[in-house]
Amino acid sequence: MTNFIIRRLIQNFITLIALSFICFSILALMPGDPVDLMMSANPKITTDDVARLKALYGLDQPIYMRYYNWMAQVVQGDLGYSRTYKVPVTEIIGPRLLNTFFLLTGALLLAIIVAIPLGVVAAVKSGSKLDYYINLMAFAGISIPSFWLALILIIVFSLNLGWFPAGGTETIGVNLTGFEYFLDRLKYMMLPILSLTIIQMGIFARYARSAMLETLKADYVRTARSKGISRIPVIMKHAFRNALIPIVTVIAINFSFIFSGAIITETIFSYQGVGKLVYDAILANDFNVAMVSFMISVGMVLFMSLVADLLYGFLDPRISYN
Amino acid sequence: MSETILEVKNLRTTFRTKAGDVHAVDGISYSITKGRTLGIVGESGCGKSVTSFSIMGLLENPGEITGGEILFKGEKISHLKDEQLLKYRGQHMAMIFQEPMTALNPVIRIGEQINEQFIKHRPHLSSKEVKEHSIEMLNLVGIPSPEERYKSYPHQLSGGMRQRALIAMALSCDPEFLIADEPTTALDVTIQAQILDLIQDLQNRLGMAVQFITHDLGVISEVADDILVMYAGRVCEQGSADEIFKKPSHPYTHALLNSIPKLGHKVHRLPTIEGTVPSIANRPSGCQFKNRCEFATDICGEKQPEFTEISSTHKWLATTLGARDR
Repeated sequence: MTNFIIRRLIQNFITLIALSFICFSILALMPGDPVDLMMSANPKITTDDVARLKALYGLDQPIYMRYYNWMAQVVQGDLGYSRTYKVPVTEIIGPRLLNTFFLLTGALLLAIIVAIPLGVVAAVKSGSKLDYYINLMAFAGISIPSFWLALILIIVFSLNLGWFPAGGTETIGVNLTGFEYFLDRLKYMMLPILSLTIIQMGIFARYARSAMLETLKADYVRTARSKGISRIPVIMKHAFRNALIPIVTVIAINFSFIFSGAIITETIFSYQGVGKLVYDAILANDFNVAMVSFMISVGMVLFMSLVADLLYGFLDPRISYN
Repeated sequence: MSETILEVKNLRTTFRTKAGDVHAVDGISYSITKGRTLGIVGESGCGKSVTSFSIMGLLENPGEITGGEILFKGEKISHLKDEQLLKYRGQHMAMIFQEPMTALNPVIRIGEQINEQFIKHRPHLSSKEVKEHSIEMLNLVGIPSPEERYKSYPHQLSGGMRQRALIAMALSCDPEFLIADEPTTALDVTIQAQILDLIQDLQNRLGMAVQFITHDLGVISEVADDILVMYAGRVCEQGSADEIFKKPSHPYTHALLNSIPKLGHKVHRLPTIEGTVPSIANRPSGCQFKNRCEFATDICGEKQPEFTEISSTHKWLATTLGARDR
């Protein structure tokens, strides 16, 4: 077990390094750099100044040299300075990360809590009207583009009904503490979470349903019934425990989709998370911020797949990591 | 006359499909008394398993019992709802399945799977007693080091051991009636013999009535006291094992017996029964076996076959003269 985790962590580390190079190159290949932006903002700048600035920031060097320089700094614990926020990257990334963490956890939990039971019910009652409606909702959820859904949610729940704010992270200018602070944050998170989860709900419900349909037909379920065990324990203990294995896979895979969905969602709702940070950083050529955000998202996805692998070992005794 | 444990009267089990109603089991009757073994033989798709599932109440949608009745110790159980059948299942009647590889839940420990039955049917037992009983059952079915196997998962056991575990599970609450649905089909021959011995040994000890389903006549000759030959959802011949093996009357029984390879007989090719069982969705009129029967005449398609009694225990479904008389 420990060996497995160590091996996987090493693999993840190598993946992370490789991806950091790819991300860095893509950013560097984008047209324009910070100095070009400065040029457009300051008409009095001369070509000599531009050349001097580019040399100063190392922007005249080839990509691999720039990557090497960036890496050398990162290894020393220096993530660089944000060009747009005028503070070290470490200072802005912390709170942003926490905001996104709340959003993603909320979205993931909500999707699991709602969708898995729906999928199970649909499978148990397969062919019934209920199954039909759950399927219909699931497909609708999967097909809705999240940015469109986000706009509709804003129109309905904040413009028309006025229940939730249309954007932001927390009420500005009031000092709330404890539970009131939590409620305030929750109010701002509701719509982003909803627009993030509806697609995931559809996907999870579909997978839970098909996994359950499979296990409900299994021989061991019939064996359990032949022992005289009642319906609900047969479904929950015998069928659902086996169905959990594919369900966990889908949840882990989808985590990366939720994360990329967060970029769009956070931008639409001006929610101050890493997703919005990435978006702003790319638009503003703020390389240092963008790179760190990339690395964090890649790291999270890698971490989730490790968690999923460990969960398999826990859920399925046939899988052993020794 | 000993006590009748199970009586099946004119049972008809229907699958309601989009293409119409399909009678997988079509009016079969038999009974099993205490301590005896009834062997049900027939090739795939003739309704052997559906009969067992009808008795146990394990029919899957869209299958249901549409005619006749099933009596367990004189009590009618064929009309009972699933919840009402729960107290019979596992406690009074139990079932062993064909595939030991898939019949055990892969994610639950063997011991816990046996415990479940005690927890359900013997609620007064403490959890310690439940565990002791389960280990005792594993010991009874000849599983070595039962304490360790109690903690094993199914994949850690061989096929034969899994079948033993399934038998331990089925017999844990001393059922009066056991259905063994091809319990040896998935096992190799040496293990087969062990499992058959085990079932017979336990039957003698517990005095169960056993319904033994198989397509292997060699197995049937070893275990059965009485035999029921099924074809296309109907009984085509029934009698004591002696009668069936010595005086097979229905051409199908005859053909089945002919297709067993015999020691010392050199044959060029093993005789087989040409063709397949008619599709249950599209049953021909008259005798079901006529298209494969070497004795078939025109009358077979017109006349509905009727039971002809040879002795008080032996009867067969006859249209033309029996193969025996030829």
